[in-house]
Parts: sequence; C-alpha cells; structure tokens
Amino acid sequence: MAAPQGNAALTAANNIQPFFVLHKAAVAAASTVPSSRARRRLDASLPSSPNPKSAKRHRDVDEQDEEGPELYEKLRLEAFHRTWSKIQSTIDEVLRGINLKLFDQVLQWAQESFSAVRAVAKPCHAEVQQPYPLLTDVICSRIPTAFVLTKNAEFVDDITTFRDLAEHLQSNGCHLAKLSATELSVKHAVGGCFRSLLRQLVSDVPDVADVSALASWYCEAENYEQPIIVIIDDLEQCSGDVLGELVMMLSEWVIKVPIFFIMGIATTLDAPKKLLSSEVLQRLEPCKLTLGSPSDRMNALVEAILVKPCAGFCISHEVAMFLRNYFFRHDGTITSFISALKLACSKHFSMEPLSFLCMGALEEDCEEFWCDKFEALPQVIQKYAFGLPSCTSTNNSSSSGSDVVKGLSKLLKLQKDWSSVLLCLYEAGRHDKVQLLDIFCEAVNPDLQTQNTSDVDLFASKMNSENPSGVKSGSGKVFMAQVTNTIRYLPMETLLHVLEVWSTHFKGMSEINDKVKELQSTTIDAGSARTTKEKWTRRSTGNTGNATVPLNEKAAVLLHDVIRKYLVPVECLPFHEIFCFKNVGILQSALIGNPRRMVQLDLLKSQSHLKCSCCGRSGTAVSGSLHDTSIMCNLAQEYGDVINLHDWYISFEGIINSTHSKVKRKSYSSPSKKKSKSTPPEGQAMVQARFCRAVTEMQITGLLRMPSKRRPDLVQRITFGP
Amino acid sequence: MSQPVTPRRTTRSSAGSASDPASSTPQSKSRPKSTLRRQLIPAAAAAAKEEEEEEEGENDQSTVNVLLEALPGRRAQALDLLRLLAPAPALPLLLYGGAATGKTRALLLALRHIHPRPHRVAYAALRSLPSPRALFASLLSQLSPPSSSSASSRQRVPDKPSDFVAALRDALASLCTQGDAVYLVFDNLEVVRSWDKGTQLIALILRLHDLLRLPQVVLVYVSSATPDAYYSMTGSIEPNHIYFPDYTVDEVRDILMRGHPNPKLYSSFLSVALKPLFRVTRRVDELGAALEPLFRRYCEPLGDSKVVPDESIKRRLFEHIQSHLAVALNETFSVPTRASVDQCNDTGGKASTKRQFGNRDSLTELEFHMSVSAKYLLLSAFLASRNPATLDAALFDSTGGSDNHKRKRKSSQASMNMKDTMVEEMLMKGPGTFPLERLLAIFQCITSVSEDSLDDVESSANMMNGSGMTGLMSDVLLQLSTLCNSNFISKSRSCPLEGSARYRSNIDEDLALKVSTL
Repeated sequence: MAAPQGNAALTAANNIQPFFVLHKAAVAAASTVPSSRARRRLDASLPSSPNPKSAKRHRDVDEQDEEGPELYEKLRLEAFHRTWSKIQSTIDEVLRGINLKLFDQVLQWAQESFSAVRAVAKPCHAEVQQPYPLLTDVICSRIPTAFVLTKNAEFVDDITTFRDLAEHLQSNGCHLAKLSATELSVKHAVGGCFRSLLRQLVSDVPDVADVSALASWYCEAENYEQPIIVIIDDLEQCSGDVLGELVMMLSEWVIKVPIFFIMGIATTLDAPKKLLSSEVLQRLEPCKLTLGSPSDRMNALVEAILVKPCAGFCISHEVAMFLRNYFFRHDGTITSFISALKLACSKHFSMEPLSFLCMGALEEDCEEFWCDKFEALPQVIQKYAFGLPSCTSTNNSSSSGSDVVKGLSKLLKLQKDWSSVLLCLYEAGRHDKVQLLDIFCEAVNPDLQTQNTSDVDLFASKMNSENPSGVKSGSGKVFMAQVTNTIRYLPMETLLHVLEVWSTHFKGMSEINDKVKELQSTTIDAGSARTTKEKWTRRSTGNTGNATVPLNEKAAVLLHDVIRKYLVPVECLPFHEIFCFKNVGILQSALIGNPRRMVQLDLLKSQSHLKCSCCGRSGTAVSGSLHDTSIMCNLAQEYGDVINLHDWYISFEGIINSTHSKVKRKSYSSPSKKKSKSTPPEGQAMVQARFCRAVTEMQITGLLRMPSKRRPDLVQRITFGP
Repeated sequence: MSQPVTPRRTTRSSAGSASDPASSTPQSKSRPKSTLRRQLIPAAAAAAKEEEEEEEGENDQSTVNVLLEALPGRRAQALDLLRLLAPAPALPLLLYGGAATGKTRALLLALRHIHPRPHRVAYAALRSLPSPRALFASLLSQLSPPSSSSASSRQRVPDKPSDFVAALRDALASLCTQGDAVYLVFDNLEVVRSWDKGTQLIALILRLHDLLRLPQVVLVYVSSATPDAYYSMTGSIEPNHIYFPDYTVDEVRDILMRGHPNPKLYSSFLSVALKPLFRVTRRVDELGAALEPLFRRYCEPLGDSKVVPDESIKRRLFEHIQSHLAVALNETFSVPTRASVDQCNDTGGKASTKRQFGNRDSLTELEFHMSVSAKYLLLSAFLASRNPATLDAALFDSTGGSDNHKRKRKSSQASMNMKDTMVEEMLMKGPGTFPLERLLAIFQCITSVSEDSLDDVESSANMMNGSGMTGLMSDVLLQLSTLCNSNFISKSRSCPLEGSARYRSNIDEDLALKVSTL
C-alpha cells in the first residue's frame, strides 16, 4: 500500500509512545492495547491491527469450520486492502484537485513576481556577486510574499498541502527551500536559519554562510533563470525577531537574488502584523491566497467517498453522525476524519465475516463474482448470511445463493439511485449554503424511511417492522426541508442551472430524467416569456415573477417525490451489513482516546490483559507479583484525593513481603523469576527504592502530583474512579 | 570599485566601468595637492573645484552634476561626501540619518565619482551578515586578490577579533603597497548593537582606524543611529560626520516623480495624496509603497493611463480617491487578495470600502475553521485572562443551579459592581495569567451549560450529545496546544510534568466576539 507511507511521515511527528506495563511473572508479557491510544497515530498502527481482532471475532461465527477461518480472513484482509487503497486514491485525487487551483495561482504569482523583479534590473553575474547593493531607481526593494491562508486553526492538514505545493513548484523549475518554525526559532537565530536555507539549495555550503555564497550559487548558469522560493508553512509558530532579521537580510538582495516567500497562515492576516515589526512588513510585498476551507474539502470528500459508492464500503447513520460531530466539535481536520474512516473500514472488514463480498463492487461483473464466492462458502456462513438482522424479516424460505446475489445487486442499484438523489439535493441546497455532510447525515438516517410512510414501497414496509418505531419523528429532515424551501425561491437562472445538473445526475433513472427534461422545456419557455416581460417585472417584484412560481413549485414537488421514492437509506436494505459499518461504539472508544484514564484502567486491571496464572485465582486481592506501579495504583484507590505517603508505603511493603513468604514456599510455580526476589527478606532499601520508582512513574503518567512544600507527607491524586 | 585600475583614459559616461585618469598619477603627487584642496573647499565645492583643475574642470563638473542629478534633495551631503572622501582623508567618516534618507545610495554613487579613484572598496552590509565571523570572512575575501579569493578565504576564517585585525592588516598592507586608497565601508552599523557581544564588536570596528594605522585605508561607517550612540563608549577618535536629514515634502515629491511615465497625471495625484500621507510617515520607501496602490486606484476611472488630466478630470479623480485615501491613512500593511483571472476586480474595492464604513460588519464571521471545543477553550482562556480569579466563584458557581438565565444575570450584576475598577486594572495590566486548572474548570462550566442549550436546539443530534460534549474534555490538552501554536494563548515556560505552567490569552475582544458567535 502506497498511501499509508505518505501519512507515516505526517504522523511520525506526533508519535507518542504508549506506556508498556510488563509483568514480572514470566507467563505472558503482553502490552496493554496500544493501538487506540493516540488518535493521530491511527494510521501508523492500522495495517497490523486487523489480524488479531479478526481472529478473535471470527471464533464465534464459525468455530466448527476447520479450514474456513484462515482462508476467509485472508480474503477479508485482501478486500480491506483493495477497498482502502481505492478510497485512499480517491481521497488523494480529490484533495489534489482542490489544491491544484491554488498551486497554479501560486506558480503564476511566482512567475509574475519574477518578471517584475527582472523588469527592475537584470544584473549580470558580476553585479550579482558584488557585496554592495545595486543602485536602481526602485525606492524600496520588497520581497514578494504570498500569504496562504489555510483557514484552519489546526495545522495537520496543511502539512501535506505545503509538501505538495513544494513539489508542484519544484517540478515547474523554481528553486525551493522550506523553513520550519523550529528553524526560525530564537535558539537557531538568523544564522542557523540562513544556513539551513543555504543547505537546501547549495550542495557545497561554505564554513561561513552569508548571502554572497547564495549569490555565487545563483550565478551558476543552470540556476540563474528561476526564482528561489522559500516556504514557511506555519508562520504563527515562528519567532518574529528571527524571521524579521531574515527578511531584512534577504530584502537587500532581492533584486540580485530573487528570493520570494510563501508563508502559511492558519488564522487571520493579523498574524503577520502581530508577529513582525512594521519595518519588516515594509520589506514585504504581500499578496493573499486562500486555500479551500475545511468544510469545502469535506464536502468534496464526502461526495467522492461516501455519496458516490466508490468502493462499496459505506457507513451507517450513527457512524456518520459521530464522524460529523467529531469533525465539527473536536478536531476539524481532514486528516483525522480520514483516519477515522480508515479505522471504521478496517474494523468493518475485521468484524464482519461476509465483508469480503464488498470486493464485488470493485469487480467488472459483480454478480458473477458474488455467485462464485457465495457458492464456495461453507454452509455455516451461508446460514449466517440469511441470519443477518436485515434479512430475517424478509420471509423468503428459499435461502439460495442466487437470492443473496440478487439482493446484493439490488442494494447496489438502490444505493446508486440514493446517491444521485442526494447529489441533486446538494446541488439545490448549495445555493443556501447547506453542507453536504449535513444532508448526508440526514439521508442515511433510517428513520427517514419511516417518515415517508405513504408509499407502498417494499422496503419501507419492511422498515416499519424492523426499526424501533420512529420515536424521533420530525427531527430528521431539517436540512432537506431547507433544500425544498430553497428551490421554491430560487431565481430562474439558477433553477435552470440546477435542473441541468439534475438531468446529468438522473441519467441512469430514465423516468425521473424524463420529468426533469419536461420541466426544463417548460422552464425554457417560461424563461423566454419572462425575458419579454422582464422589463416591467424587474422593478416591481424581482425574482418571484408570476411565471416562475409554479415552475419552482413543480421542481420542488418533483424533488419531494424523488426523495420519497428513491432516497432509501442503506440501513433499510437487506444484506446492508455486508457493506455498511455500524458499530459506532468501537470507533468512539478508538478515536476519543483518554490516555490518562486508559493508563489507570490498564494498571488496575492488568490481570485481564496479562492473563497470568499467579493472579488470576486470587481475584480481588492485590498480588505481590504484579508490577509495582500496578500495586501502588490499586492501593491508591483506597484513598481520597490525598494519599498519606507513609500509610501507602506500609501497605505496599506489606504486599511485597507477604508474597515473598508465599513465593518462597512455592518457588516452583515461577521458575524464571528474578534473582533479587529469591533472597528471602526484601531489603528495606530495595522496597523503598521500588516504592519511589513506582511513585515517580505514576507522577509521569499523570496519575498523581508530588507533595507540596506545605504538606510534604501527602501526595495528591489526580485521577479518580475506575 | 573592485576592478583593477586601468591606466588608459576613457570617457566617464558609464560610471560603473569608468576609470579615472587621475588615478594613474602616483599617489604621492596627488595627495598634497588634495589636502590643499580640502582646506580650500568650503560649502560650495563645485564652484571651487571648477577653478582649481583646469584641464579636468568641465569633465569634473559634469560628473558632479550627474551625481547631484542622481541624488535629489541631497546636494549638500553629496558635495560633503566628495570633499571628505576624495583623497584618502585622515579621519574615518560617519554617515548618519534616519532610514531611507539615501545614505548608502549617496555613498556608493560618490565612490564612483571621487577623484583619485579608489583602488578597492570593501563593503560590508552588517544587516546581511548573520554573525561576526561572516563579517570577517566577507571583508577578507573582498580584500584578498581575486585569483585566490575562493580558495584561500575558505581555508581560514579568523574566530577571534585579534586574529581578524592581524589578517586584515596583512591583506591591507599588501594592497596599500601599490599606493592607492582602500575604502572599507560598514553599512547598517546600528544592527551590530543587538548582536551577541555586539558592543565589543562595535568598539573593534570603530577603533579599526587606530588599530590598523594605515593612512591609505579609509573607513566609512553608515548608520541610522547618531554618532553619540557609538563614540560615547569607545573613546576612539571622532570621525567626520555627514548628517542626512529627513526629506521634505518637496524633495519627496521630486524623488517620487523621477522617471514616471505620465508626470502630469502623477503630479496631480501627488498633490492630492502626498500631503496627508506625509503626515503619517516621512520615509520615502514607506510613502512609495503606500502610494503605489493608491495611484492605481486613482487611475481606475480613466482606463487609459496616458491621459493628460484637465481640471474636470482632476476633480472627478479626487472624488474617486478620497475614500480610499482615508482608508490608506489607517492602514500600515495592506494585503491585496490575488483574484483569479475570472473573478471580477471590483469585489476587492467593495470590500475595502466596506471595511472603512462598517467596521462592525466584519465581526459577524470567523475567517477560519476551528472546532467547537477549541472555541470553547479559547473563550474560557479569554475569560480567565480578563477576569480576576476572585470573580470566578461569582461567575461560575453552581449555586444558581443549572438555570442558565439566572447565572447570566448574576454575572452581569457582579461585573457591574466591579466594572470600574476592573476596566482600570485591565488597562494597566493587560491580560492576566492563569494556571491550567483554572482554565479547565472554566471550560467545564461553559461546556456543561452549553450542553444543556445544545440539547434543546439540536435534537437531531441529541443521541450523540452524550459522547460529543463530555468527550470534549478528553482532548482538551491537544486543543490547547493548537491554540498555543496559533499564538492565541501563550504559555510560560516551566516543567511540563508538573503542569504548573501558566497561560495567558492574547486575543482581543473582537476576536473573542467572533469566536463566541460560533
């Protein structure tokens, strides 16, 4: 897989090592579930994660089957890889498409600035290398600077954007250097920062770096005709003084050595004003460029991945709601959205035994694929397929393979209709600033179908029996109602445009498409009629001229009809479990990592992870063979928000010593224990040392705070509850 | 000029490549003559010079005129420069005056025009040299013979000032044997003061004259700080100074007018725009930068930039520019949006005028994306920074129950009481610092209340609320680091394990208001 490699560099920066708690007894030293801890690490840990999980889950489905599990496990793994690589490539494509517009603007800006600089003076090589400034008629030499507003306070998404930007510019011939905030820090000062700039451009950096080295490098024939572009991707984190000095230094040379800046700003344009002095600002010739906002990108991503069935995989309403809330409330980065989606995908393929059938959606002839696969399935799994909750209500007794195949292809077909309707909704709603993610969340809501009861739709009738009858009726259609309302008041031109887009979306659905065509033709007539009328309608009524009202109404009615008939949420269809990931709980616990709590939980319940023989029996009592920190943590539960150090020590010592006597008696049980333990009475000093280390570890993991000067014998507990 | 002296006489039309006929004469001859001349030349040197050297008189006169032409408003300084630089003077020379008053330009031009042509000029712009070592290396490589410059200078760069002086003396001695003057120029001298060990380096640079004791070496310092800033502390010889005063309005106008394609139009523009802006700044570079976009706007109604304006057009243009001028006066740093080709141009204009009239309009929306929990955290930081900790109990205590309205009223009452003193204090002290615990406590108070209100509004999402909002607490520290990174909250340095770092929110009320409208 090529995709995670790209992200690996991204996540490596935030790599937080998990804590490992090891057991002293030699039975099984296992780590405490590290994967779901730090949320930005998800990508890195994912590729390995499906295996153990799937093995566990598999057991309860087909324990009897002998050769099945490995084979299907492998199949599912393959399906995951293929599906995810498809999704990932779609994501990359979409993001690149969005960024490309900006990149081209940047390139154009660079070329224009370069020609502007060259228009001032075109110094010959000897002149460039002179140490003193050129005498030109320019009153103030300023460095062309592009401020790229990334529009997101979180910086993670933009790392890749700036990396791609650098590649794009470089492939177009510009010389490129990147300075990060760590280089532009007070510690490195302007000398270190300039040196790192030089190192990225010049192969042979002299001992003493100054601008003349850059100038002589720039004079080499192959370097001369292109500008040098310095990308600073996070301006806010830079030290203003150092950056200011760098700007002052380079601005003296800008005519001789055309260096331009591209600075990424996460917040507002006030950032450079706050950071740099006015004298430095004077030396910048600014220009503002804007990146697509995160919600724009999100809309594009949702459209490409979730709405258009790009790889067969889809998510349920609950999961969609969770992802949406996670995006808007917690994190707001595309990166974490993608990693959450990836997690969902991997969990789906590891947990759902039939999920490998998803691959069929990627095949040319999906029905044949499904036929082959399904016939080959062992009886148990076949039975399982008909036992899926979505199928139990369909009372067809003949559970043959062809039914499944039919069901699946019907599902795909309905999904396609669903997505075209959704896209039409969005096309109309876009004029009222409706976000696709919002409509999407509504459209996957299975309750939607219960509200559209009037029809004698097969699926709707099935839905009624299946769902916990619509408790929250009336709540689900906020955005859809808004869209239909929008259509009623759309001006004629936009309505025409919307209809045009609709007809492309409805291409596969002939009857609807006919209706749209019909509407379009009437609209055009009315439109031409309106142009004659326009002279006197314009002033009085504006857009809601007499002719338009019924047309808008007609469009709204059509949309309403279509929604009722075709907007069937995936969760209402039989066999949707094969494609659809529903388990929001597992995603939630994985994403909203609560490290401190998890550390404490793991310390308290280390037996359940370690499954060792020595403490399993003892049940509630704290065994001395546990790790010191674990013992201490268990003991700490008996105290309030402060712990008396002396008491704590006494009980700790008691546990240690009690096991020693026990261990001595049955030393055969753990042959490979440490030597220090076999010496009968643990030395007082040793116990104290272990106590101290355990306390320190607990402090480092953030479970307690060290004693204050006022009360030196008490430590403060920070975490409470199990 | 670093090029070697050519003995043949050429025309002086292109100053860069010209070689002076006088430089071919031996130094010993020209020196006494010039010392004589120095005493002779008073303020009006040009006239005296003309009398003095008959055979070169008109030629000289023309170079002086070229020089004066190139330096508008700097007549006196240019003449002084010529007088003080020309035959290697006994004292160093200090050029000082505010930024963008033409010091470096005048000096460089004068060095091209002075009479015995300088054998070599070594120029060190201290601003573009990151360290003392770079300064040493740059000077020595400029003074070393061009053939071996790249090889030898790379071998050893002196670290210590004493080594540098020795190396410099060696380099200069070999040059001075040929008899011509060598000029050492130190530009932007003032920046050295902020360097690490800057005072020692400054003392060294200023005492070079005493240290080297080479009569042919002319030291020229260029600085934006006055001589008092340096010579009070070093005790070295006071150099000759030339003061470059700020330009007057008329001089600025002359400078700006130079080489403009449509002088009539531009002068009518300057008559409108220059005076008000001149009250804001007197620096030519700042004025030039500020006037450029204004002029573009000024020409907008014309379409054709070659129009020679008459009175009616002028009046029309004046009305057009007036509002923009008012905006420009308040704006030190304007960033134009780069409109893509298909976007029409007038949106930018509209936006800027809007900004002028309705400053409140821009409050409605936050320009960048921020997750809801980050917004809450930022607001709690803002509250923690602006309110004293003693008020927290009154503001957030749950004695009022979960009743939102009651709490709000209470807070307003409490703040009403304290308002006068607080406003005063806030002005005096700026935003205060707070520990992490206080921030988290306030954050929890705010989010717990908002959870209630969100329940009512967003019933469609209510099943997620449980996890959504209480989950907010979990990655608060991540959000906090994000906010610190974007400079909204600053953190004092201390041990990260103890968590005793104190924070301070840096945002102003406008931004807080924007954030609070979620």
